[in-house]
This record gives sequence, C-alpha cells and structure tokens, in this order.
Amino acid sequence: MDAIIVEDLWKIYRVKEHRNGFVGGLIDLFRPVWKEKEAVRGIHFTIPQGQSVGYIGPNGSGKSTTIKMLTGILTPTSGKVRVNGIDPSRRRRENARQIGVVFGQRTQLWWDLAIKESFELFRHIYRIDEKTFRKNVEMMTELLDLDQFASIPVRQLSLGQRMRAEIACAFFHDPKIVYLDEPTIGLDVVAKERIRTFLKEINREKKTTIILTTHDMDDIEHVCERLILIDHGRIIYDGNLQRFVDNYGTDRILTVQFEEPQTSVELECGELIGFDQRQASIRFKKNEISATKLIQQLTARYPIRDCQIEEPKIEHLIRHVYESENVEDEGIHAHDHISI
Amino acid sequence: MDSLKLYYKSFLLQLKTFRIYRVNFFASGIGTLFVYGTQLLGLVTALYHFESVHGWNLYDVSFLYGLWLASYGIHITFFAGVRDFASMVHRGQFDILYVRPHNLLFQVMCGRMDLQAMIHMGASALVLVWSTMHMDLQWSWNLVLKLAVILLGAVLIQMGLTLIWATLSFWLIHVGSLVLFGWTINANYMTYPLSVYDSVIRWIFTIFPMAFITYFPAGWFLGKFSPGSWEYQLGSFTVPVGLLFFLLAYAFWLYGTKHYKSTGN
Amino acid sequence: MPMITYPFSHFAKTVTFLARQAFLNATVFRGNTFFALFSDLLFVFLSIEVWQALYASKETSLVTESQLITYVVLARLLPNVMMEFVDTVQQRILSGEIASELLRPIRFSVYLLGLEIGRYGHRFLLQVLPIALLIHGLIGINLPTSGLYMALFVISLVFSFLLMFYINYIISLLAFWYTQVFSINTIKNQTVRFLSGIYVPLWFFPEWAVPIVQSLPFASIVYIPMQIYLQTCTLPQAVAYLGLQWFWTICMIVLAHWIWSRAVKQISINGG
Ligand SMILES: Nc1ncnc2c1ncn2[C@@H]1O[C@H](COP(=O)(O)OP(=O)(O)OP(=O)(O)O)[C@@H](O)[C@H]1O
Ligand SMILES: [Mg+2]
Repeated sequence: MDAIIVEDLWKIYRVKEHRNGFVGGLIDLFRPVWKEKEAVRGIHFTIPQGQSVGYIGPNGSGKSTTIKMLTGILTPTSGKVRVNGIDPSRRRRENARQIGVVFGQRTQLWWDLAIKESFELFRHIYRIDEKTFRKNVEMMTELLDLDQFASIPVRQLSLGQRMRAEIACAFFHDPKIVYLDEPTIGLDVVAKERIRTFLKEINREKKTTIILTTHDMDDIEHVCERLILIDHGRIIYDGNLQRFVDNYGTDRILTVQFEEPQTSVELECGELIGFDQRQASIRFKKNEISATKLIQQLTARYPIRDCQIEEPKIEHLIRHVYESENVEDEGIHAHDHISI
Repeated sequence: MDSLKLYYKSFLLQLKTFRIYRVNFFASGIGTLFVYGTQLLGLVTALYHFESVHGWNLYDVSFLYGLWLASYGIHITFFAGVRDFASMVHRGQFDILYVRPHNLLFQVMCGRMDLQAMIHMGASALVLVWSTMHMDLQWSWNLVLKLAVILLGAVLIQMGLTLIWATLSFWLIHVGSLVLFGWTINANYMTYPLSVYDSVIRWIFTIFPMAFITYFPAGWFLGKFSPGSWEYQLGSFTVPVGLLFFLLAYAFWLYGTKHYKSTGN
Repeated sequence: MPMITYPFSHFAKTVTFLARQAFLNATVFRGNTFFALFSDLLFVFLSIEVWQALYASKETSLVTESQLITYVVLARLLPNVMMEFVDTVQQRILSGEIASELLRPIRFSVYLLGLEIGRYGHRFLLQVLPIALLIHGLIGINLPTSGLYMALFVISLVFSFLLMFYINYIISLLAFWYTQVFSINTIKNQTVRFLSGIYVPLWFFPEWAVPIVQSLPFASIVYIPMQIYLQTCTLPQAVAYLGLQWFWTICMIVLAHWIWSRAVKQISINGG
C-alpha cells in the first residue's frame, strides 16, 4: 500500500518586499509590493509503506517546504497530498496521530527538565497505553543509549545527546511514517553513525516509513533504499539509491601532498584536476580503480606525505544529473523528472 | 477528559520548572506589583483631589481598575502561552504543534502557564475588596452572581484581544508594540469612565469592545446607569458580547493558522 | 585606573560625533516609527480628555485649564523614561562582554551619553515636535510668552535630560550586583512616572506631599521644567528650581561615577 501520494504539488510563498527610506516605508504601509517565491514546483512521487527515502537537494531547494506540506504544517498552494489516504492540511489531527516528526532545528523537549519528564508528556499527548509506552521507551533508550543522560536537564545536554532524545520522541507512539528534517545537522561522525544505525534498525524492525532530508550523502547511503533529489523546487532524480550511486556517485577526488616538489605527475588512471608542485588533486571513478590501488600506484613513483579522499558533494551530483540526463534547469514541464 | 489530563500534566511540568526560577518569580512579582501599585496610586491621587469625575468617585474608579486587573489576571492564568505567542512563531516552534494530534490553541495554552497570574489575581482581589468596602453595596447572592458574570464577560474580552494580537503575529513582526498599545489603553485609559471621552472614541471602544472590560459592566454592577438606558442594557450584556467577540477572534485565529507560513529552516 | 583628563573641546567633539551617529542610525526607517507616532498621539489625546473631565468636575485655583492641558501634553512627550541603552548595557553586563568597554579610550558614560543625545534629538524632531504642533493646531496649547522664561526652560530641559540619563545609567549598572533586571527597570520607570508628575501633576498631590515630592530628584525631570515653561513660578523661584536641578544632576553624576568605579573593581576581580 502506498503510504504517501504526492501529485503536482506546488508551494508559492508570498513575501513582502521593502522599499527604502521613510517615504518608502509610508508607501509600504498602504501598497506593499509582493514577491512570489516558488519553493516547490509541481512535484510527484508515491512512497510505499515501509520504504526509507532520502530526500536531498541543495540549500533552498524546497526540502523543508515539502516536509511541512506532508506533515500538515503548510497548506499547499495547489496539488494533492495523501498520507495514508488523509489530506494532512485538512485533517491535521488525524494525520498527526500516525506520524512522527523530527526537526533538526526545532526542539520538542522541555528545556528545563530531564528528558524522562518530556517523554512522559508524550505519552499523554499521543494517548499511548502504558504497556506500549514502557516497551518503546525501553527500546529507544537501549538503541539510542539514552540511559546515561536521562535525568539531566535538556539545556545541559550536548547537541548529539539532545538530538538522540528528540529522535526517540518521534517513535513512542509507533508512527507509521517518520519525517526527519536534517536530524544530523551539526553532529560529529560518532553521533551521526549512531543515528543512522538506529534509523536503519527501526525501519527494518517496525517497518516504519522513513523520509530523511540531509546534506550528508553518507546518511542517505547508510539508511535509505530510495533517493529523491530536488533542485529549485523540482524533482530531478527519483529512484533506487544504489543505481544512483553507481551512475553518478562514483567520482572521488584524491588529494596528495608530496614530500618534495614535483615538476609533473603522470597517472595510469584518473584525471588530474589540480597540481602545484607540492600537491595534486586527482579525480577517479571508484568502480574503475580503488582508492588504495591508486595511492599505491602513486607512492610507487612519488614520495607522498599525506593524502585525503573527498566524497562527492550534492551540488556536484546535481550537476552530473543535469549533464547526463538533459534535465532543463528552469524547465516548465511538470513531468520532467526522471524515474529509474 | 483526555485533554484536561494533558493540561494537568503540562501544569505539573511547569510547576517543576518553577522551582528552578523561584528567584525570578519573586523578583518579577515585585516588579508587577509595583506597576499596578503606581498606576492605581495615580488614579487615587487624581480622584482624591478632584473627588469625582462624571459621577464616579475615587472608589468607583478604583473598582474599574480592580475589574480590569482581575480580568487580566484570570485571563493570564489560561492565556499566558497565547500572550507570548509571537516569540513562538518567530522561533519557528509553532511548527511542532501542527504535528501533534490536538487542537492548536489548546496546545498553545498548555505550553506556558504563568504563575505570575496569582500575583495579578491577589492584587486585584485586594483592590476590589478595598474599593467595594467603601461603597454601600447590599451584598447578596444575587450581587455575587452579578460580579461573577461581569468578570466572565471581561475575561472573555481579554482573551479575545490577546488572541487577536497572537493571530496578527502570523503576519506582523512587531506585535509586541501592538500588545503594549492595547494594554496601555486598558490599564491607563479604560480605567476612567468612558463618558469622559468624546463620542468618536466612545464609539470606537464600544464597537471594538474594550469598554466592555470595565466601564459598561462596572456601571451596570454599581448602578451608575439608570435602568433602561442603553448603557445599562449594554452593561447587562457583557457575557454575550464577550462570547461573540471571543468567537470572532477565534475565527480569525483559525483563518491565521490555515495561512501560517512557518519560517525558513 | 589612572584618570585621564581630556580638554573640553575634545570631549565636545567626541560627544557631537557620537550624537550625530546615533541620530542617523535612528533615521533608518523602521516599521514601528509610524505606529509609535500614532499611539503617542492617541495617548496624548486621551489624556487631554481625561484631564479636561477631571478639571471640569471641581473648581481649582491652582492652574487654568489651558495650563493643565499644556502640562499633560508636554509631560507625556518630553521625558524619555526608558532609554534605549539600558537593555543593551544590562545584557552585556550579564554576559560579561562589558569588560571590553574598559578598553575604550573614552569614559563609558560619555560614550552612552553621546549616543543618547543623538537619539533624543531624533525623538524630539520626529516625535515630540510633530505631535505637539498637531495638538496645538487642533486644541491649542500655551506657548511661552517671555523669552527669558523660554531660555530658562531650555536650560531646565537640559538638566532634565541629564538627570534622566544618569538615573538610567545608574540603573543599568546595577546589573553588576543584581541580575533581575526586569524588576529594577520596572521599578525605576514607574517611580519616575509617578513622582515626576507624568501620571498626575504635582499640583494635585495632597498638600502635605507636595514639598517632599517637589524636592526629590524626580520632580526635576518633568514638574520643574513644566513650571518654568508655564511661567507658574516667579523668576527667583525659577532660578531656585534650576539650582535644585543642578544639585540633583551633580549628585547623580557623582553617584554614577562611584558606582562605575566599584563596577570596574568588580570586573578586574572577577574578570567580568
Ligand atoms: N516561511 C517562508 N517564507 C518565505 N519563503 C520561504 C519560507 N520558507 C522557505 N522559503 C523559501 O523557499 C525556498 C525553499 O526553502 P526550504 O526551506 O524548503 O529549502 P530547503 O531545501 O529545506 O533548504 P535547506 O537545505 O537550507 O534547509 C527557499 O528559497 C526559501 O528562501
Ligand atoms: Mg530545510
């Protein structure tokens, strides 16, 4: 069964433009200038129950706006949204009962109290019966390792600890769908890893549908089976994650520093994209040659002091998609996204 | 029933945080009392010298002030979250309430309870008792009921006002100055009998029913209007007026929540 | 800390510079400007009606009606009870950032004074004057008839501004010892509003209270300048009033410096 159906969904924000100066301000009072900002421009997708979907795109591409329409916070300008058959902005409360939401930039916890107490409030908010609640709290506490800070006031927690507690809150009432908008923002690698493992686990065990937005490709690769890529309010890729990574995400950049200045660098494989005697950057495809092999080849010829491998950036991936699929950037057609 | 339980649970949590901010509570309490004390002292000083204005003496005017303060205090007991709603919108925290299966206004009310309300109510009780002690009112159950009725009407109007300001913060950034504006009018100007103002102002505050917080109900209660006069009629209608005003404000609020734009990020 | 003394011309230059800067900053349009103008106008208007009604309810030989109205209008417009710097200074004290103020080559109070003069100038030109003129056009308020009184009034207004400034400054520094700034500010604002005669002119205070309240520093902020403006005092009295204002201003300056030096000690002990 499809958990989420989105058809030709638009969101246009109207924002007031300000004129300058005293007189301008006076005119603004009576004849404001409105500017329209098309944040989401006719997107389509359906997500079956139990799928984990990564929703990515550069800053300002419309991810949060989409999530807010799916959760019922924003009313769409036009188009259709159905979440388990419910229109979230019309039947907000019904929808809210079966979803969980985590906003990386907002907090659901009570600032001055320990997380235990906030958890208890959630039991009442969602009318969870005692037994289910105990069981879930136990499970979350174990999976997210909340025990060690369960009784410290939230304001004294580290960002990573707080985020883990926030995420736990979204799962107590056994939601069918959980939306996570940048849950890993500002976290270190260890904290991210723990959250990824948790999401994967919960998706497998409880068959919870997961919609995850992030700027970290690694989050997606660890957690999601499907990827939706959005840019300028339009979906430009929607499909299997592995295939996407194979097609577009294979480029890596290796940067090496030499012990002594070199006059030139010769390569058997890959492409030299930067060189300045002490340092060279090499782009290579990870399915053609492994990083270790490439480094071995280089060390055989040059004295290497240090090296570093860069994963592809989202902006980079987007360019690739545009280049290889001929997607028009500012295209007008509503159905121009590619499905694989 | 479940909602009441949730309200109660939120209240208990608030009490826990209260312990952390005890000093803060007492300090602001003193500040609050000082504001009301000096405002009342201003009224009393003026009326002590001039004896009366439009047939209202020192105690009558103090009663107006007490009525305003009581309605403000009672409304803050439930509406502190609504009063502080603008900051919730600007921080983007209002988003969170949309994804929970409860009425939005109810959640805003649960989100914050201000124990300062007790100080407001205590102070207003003192003012009301003190001012009525100096009047020859024949206390009876009927009169107590009348007092309850005018308080209810006044509280409904205060709630309506606060809800309107809160709704405006969906569109305006500086709602704080509007709130202060409304508060100043209520505290400093509606605590004089409305009849001192010219007809335009009287009309404005009758239609936008700020005069129904103090002047009309107090005049009706204290017998300042001759029975049958239109002021008397209006005074006896504060509860329906309050209810109507609150419902209109609530409709405006519902409209606002449908057009909520959230904040970037 | 060694006291560094500057020649007065240098001092004047610094203050003028800061004042101009603050004035220009204030002219940057804010949506609130019109609303502040409107609400002030309405409050003044309502106050006039309240006092007209009070005045009509009992014969009084203390003042004429037009004097009373003039008083009500100007008492509400002229004083700036809550100065803008108080909040920022308190926040910087509470956060400890205040320590960096010690590095400035000028006195902290002079720096703030310069800024506040500029803001007051802006307020005077764009808020006080337009509203007063509009009310004058609509209802009519008394204008001074004697140039001499007018000159004395201007001096008196300067004292009033300085007093208000130093009271605000002292209150803002209290944040070093007392963190509940909301309540101290409220108490300051309300005390000034009541005892300076903004809420009720001192004429109408009970007779026994008048001499006491009149000699407190707060009366020098509103009531005394207004007495001179309305010419409800004789010339020698006016001069005596100015003397009283001068006395309180000096007291406040001395007190402010003393508190500041204690504060500086506190910073150097606690590291801010
Ligand atoms: N409340 C709002 N009012 C007006 N414009 C908005 C609002 N929220 C977002 N926008 C605009 O809509 C566009 C999409 O914003 P959105 O927050 O959905 O992007 P995003 O993909 O979540 O970006 P990010 O990665 O930075 O979180 C942006 O251009 C943004 O400026
Ligand atoms: Mg976002």
